[in-house]
Amino acid sequence: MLKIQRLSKTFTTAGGEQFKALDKIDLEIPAGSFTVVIGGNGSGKSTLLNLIAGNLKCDEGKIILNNREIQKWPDYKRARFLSRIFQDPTAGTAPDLKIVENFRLAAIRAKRKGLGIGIDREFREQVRRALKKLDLGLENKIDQQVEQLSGGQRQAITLLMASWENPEILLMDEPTAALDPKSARLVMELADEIIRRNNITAFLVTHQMHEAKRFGDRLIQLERGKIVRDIGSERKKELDPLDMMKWFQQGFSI
Amino acid sequence: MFYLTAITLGLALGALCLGIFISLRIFNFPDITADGSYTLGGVITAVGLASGHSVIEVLILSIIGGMLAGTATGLIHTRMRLNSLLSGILVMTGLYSINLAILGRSNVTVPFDAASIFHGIEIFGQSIWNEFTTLLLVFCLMVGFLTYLLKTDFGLSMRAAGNNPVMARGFGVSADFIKVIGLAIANGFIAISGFLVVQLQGFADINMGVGIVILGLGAVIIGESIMNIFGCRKMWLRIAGVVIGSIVFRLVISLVLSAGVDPMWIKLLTALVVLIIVGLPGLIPSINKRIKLE
Repeated sequence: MLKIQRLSKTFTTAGGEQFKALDKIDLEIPAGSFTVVIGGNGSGKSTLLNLIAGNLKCDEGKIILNNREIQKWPDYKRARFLSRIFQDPTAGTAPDLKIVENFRLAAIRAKRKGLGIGIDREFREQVRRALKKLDLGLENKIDQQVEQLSGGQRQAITLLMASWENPEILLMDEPTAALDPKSARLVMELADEIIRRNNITAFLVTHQMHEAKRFGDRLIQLERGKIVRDIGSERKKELDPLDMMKWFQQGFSI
Repeated sequence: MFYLTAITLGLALGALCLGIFISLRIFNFPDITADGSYTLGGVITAVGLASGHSVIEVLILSIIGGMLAGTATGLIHTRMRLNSLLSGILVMTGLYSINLAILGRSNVTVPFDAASIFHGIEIFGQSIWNEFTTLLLVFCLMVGFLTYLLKTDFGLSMRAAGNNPVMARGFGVSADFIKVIGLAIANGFIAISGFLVVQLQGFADINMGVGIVILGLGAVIIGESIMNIFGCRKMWLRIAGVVIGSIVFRLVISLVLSAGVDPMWIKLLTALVVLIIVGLPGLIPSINKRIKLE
């Protein structure tokens, strides 16, 4: 269970203006639920994810995960139980490291980074098996540097890495926005399968209304730092992407 | 013989180049602390050996000294958020006084009968060959150690933290903490060079580290270029290449000196050589494709 209580964040612009990115948000997310967050530019959706992940610190309010107050924890400490996928497909992997080395980092996310060599034959086989399921031919390239892969391949790997050691929470910030339609579909279907299979509490921020309708069991719309719509699983199924577009003035695609 | 002297000095400076490799290539941190921590290793060694301490004691003290210097730079950079160059300059400047205090005067000669790492191997008639053999062993040890370290889980975290800090933090690596540790290790290596060079030359001088960081930088880039030309991507070859770069650099300088150039111009020439290696690929894009530099 993730509880968010009166969470607020205000930014000061270069001109000295105060901008309320998030304004006393309350939210209860049951374990294993998949929440889709939509909203216009500046509505606060990325700020919400950044606050949960710890990349930003909140001004006031609480973030409570399974009775632990985590709003003051640094991001690397929250990483033990929290995974993130960014819009930029290059953000989630270390480009100069090999594929298998990236996976090793994912495997030790909650462990001590010791002075032993963790990449042994068994681990390499594990990574190969996981990559084979992607069907992208990457299982024979585990010693290649991640830099040489395409954006879609990198995002798919990021997703596999994010779910390697079952995280309690998976945050996805427009994970398909920079991908071609085919890779986007692959990444989202893979994400959905992983989330369902492992019962992960997931957040998806998206600008794609068809994604917002198809995935997740709850839909939240943010506007000016406040929750303006909160739609449950049953009603969400009946939504029409074209109608959803009308919730926004501009800037959205189906 | 003339070349062997250059190669030997290049090997002794190899540890310095490995240190620069760690800070510059793993953390993208141009670490000027090197000027001070190299001298620190040197002065600890000279004073320690002159006062009758053993090689091992002096080595350990030198490494600790270097690591403390690196830790200071790392903490200033990560805690006080000073930029990398300024953090290094501050510690380097402070170290000048510390080095002078340890040395007591501007230079100290190591007595001929003092202990020395180069007394360990005496199989050849000419001492230069013994020194060369000793340094070759040291070279193998250091390359082996660093290769192993970078392949461990800790080493992977270090490389990820330098390569993509956001991603590293996302996988539970405290990028700031590991940067401090990394700079400590880098400056430990650099101090080992001071330790070796002082025993090779028989004296320590307060100014022995001036501009040494440029030498390390040049060696790292020469080494990488050589390895890229031969298409070597393996980690141990990249690391060994850095020391080879150091040797090549010393050979070039020796050649210039033997051509009759006044030693006064050495620093200027060194700077120019590094400028050419670093700057040329930027001017001629076709080289840039071949030799990947940042």
